Amino acid sequence: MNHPDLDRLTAWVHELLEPAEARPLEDHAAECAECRDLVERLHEEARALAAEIAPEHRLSALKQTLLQAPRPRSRGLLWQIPLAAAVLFGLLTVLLSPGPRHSLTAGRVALEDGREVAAPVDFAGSKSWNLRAVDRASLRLSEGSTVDLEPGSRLGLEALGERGVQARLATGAAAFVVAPEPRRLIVCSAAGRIESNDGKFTVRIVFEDEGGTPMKGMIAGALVTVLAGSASLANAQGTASVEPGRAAVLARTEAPLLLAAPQDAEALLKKLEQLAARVAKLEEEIGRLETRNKQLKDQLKGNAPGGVWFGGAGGTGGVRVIQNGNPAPGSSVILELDENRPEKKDK
Amino acid sequence: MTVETRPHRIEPRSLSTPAQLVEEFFMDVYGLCFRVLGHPHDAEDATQETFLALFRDREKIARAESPRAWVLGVARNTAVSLFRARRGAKPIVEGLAPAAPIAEPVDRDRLREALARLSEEDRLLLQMRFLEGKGAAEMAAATGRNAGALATALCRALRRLRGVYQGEEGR
Repeated sequence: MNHPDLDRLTAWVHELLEPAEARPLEDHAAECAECRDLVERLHEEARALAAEIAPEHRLSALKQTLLQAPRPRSRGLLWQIPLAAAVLFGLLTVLLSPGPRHSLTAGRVALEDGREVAAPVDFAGSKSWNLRAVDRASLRLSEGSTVDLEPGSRLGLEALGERGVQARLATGAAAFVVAPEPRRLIVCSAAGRIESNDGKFTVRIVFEDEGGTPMKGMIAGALVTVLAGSASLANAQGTASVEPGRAAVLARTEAPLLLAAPQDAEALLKKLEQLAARVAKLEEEIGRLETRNKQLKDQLKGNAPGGVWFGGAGGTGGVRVIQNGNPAPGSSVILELDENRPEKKDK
Repeated sequence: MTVETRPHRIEPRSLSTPAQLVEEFFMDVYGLCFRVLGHPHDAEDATQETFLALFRDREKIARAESPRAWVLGVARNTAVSLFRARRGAKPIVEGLAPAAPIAEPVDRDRLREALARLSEEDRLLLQMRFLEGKGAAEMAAATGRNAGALATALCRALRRLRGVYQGEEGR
């Protein structure tokens, strides 16, 4: 069977086909990954349209506002004032109420596939997202909390946890304002997680984990400053509760460390940045040495015509390996002693 | 084309309070406002204005022979006034350019713009499907079409919507 066209699949997804018409499509989709993917995209489209045309929480709040509006006692205009106030209050409630989707309310972000999108954009709360802030960006999560991302910061969102959304800051810095409620919002980093049910806090990733070397991963860390409310930090090494106005360090290899005073955070951050610079230099040196080591190994295997020259001290002579090809394990190679340094050394 | 599907089943005395009006007609009023305006937020504003007007005249409505027709008439007038005041008529998209489904993440401004560019008839189909959650049989009965024609009409409406959303106006 050829692939059904988009209209046919659309009609099927919206249950507009008779059972006899739908059956061949079901059979085809069961065996065709391409059509299954298209069907899933049509379901996504349907959910997005339903959310836009019939925003359940907004309509419900609007209806409640109208239901609670005071009954007019006269036909004058005065009676409309409390009603208008109630409607306005309801509207504000609606606008501030959490929805089932994440919203980019300001700025631009890049998606995993390289596309850039600008506010206002909605993201399905049921899916996972990896976003990179192209410039300063603000998001409202599906449960009402907000996140302000600094340019270049990378934020992951997943449909997990008590609130149905879990954030992961991989790079950069972000400010979180957690919508107050008994359930906790979890913000993860490579060094540990932050949990809060009413906090306002900032997170700055000091060492990133993604795409780094094992060395970077080992020292992944984040600086957390709680501005209001409360937050607790946790990783495999331990937990700590952070009070408003305090800062703490999350490091993969250590229990969360509370800083004595907020100003310590800046000093510590400076030290960590210096350490990061040293680590980067060491990594660069390791990379250079590894490249050199590989070159030498290749040459020892006889890939370089004329063998390999091991120079003597002061360039006055040395030993040349003159056997070509890969020697078998345990076999010998022929070395030639040469007192004169050749014009071209091995590379 | 406007097709009213709900039979007249409200006794006049049951509409004597604002709450009864809201309970009975909220979704009908919002749906009609959305159909006229094509913009969910504008439809919410029009719904509020409609009910403010209905609350004032609720005694007349309760005595009316067809309260539903009265309510929907007020809603339509309110929505049309708001449409003229805020947006004005925009060219309706009639082409059928092929376009892929609207993908996540959804650009809400573009989607609203695309909805506003559809004909009222297209929006009626989307309203029945996505706002009222009607199935094929209910939609067919409401529009007076057979199932095949209805499926074709909804698919065409979605194609036009995708086309405008994705920047392909269609021919």
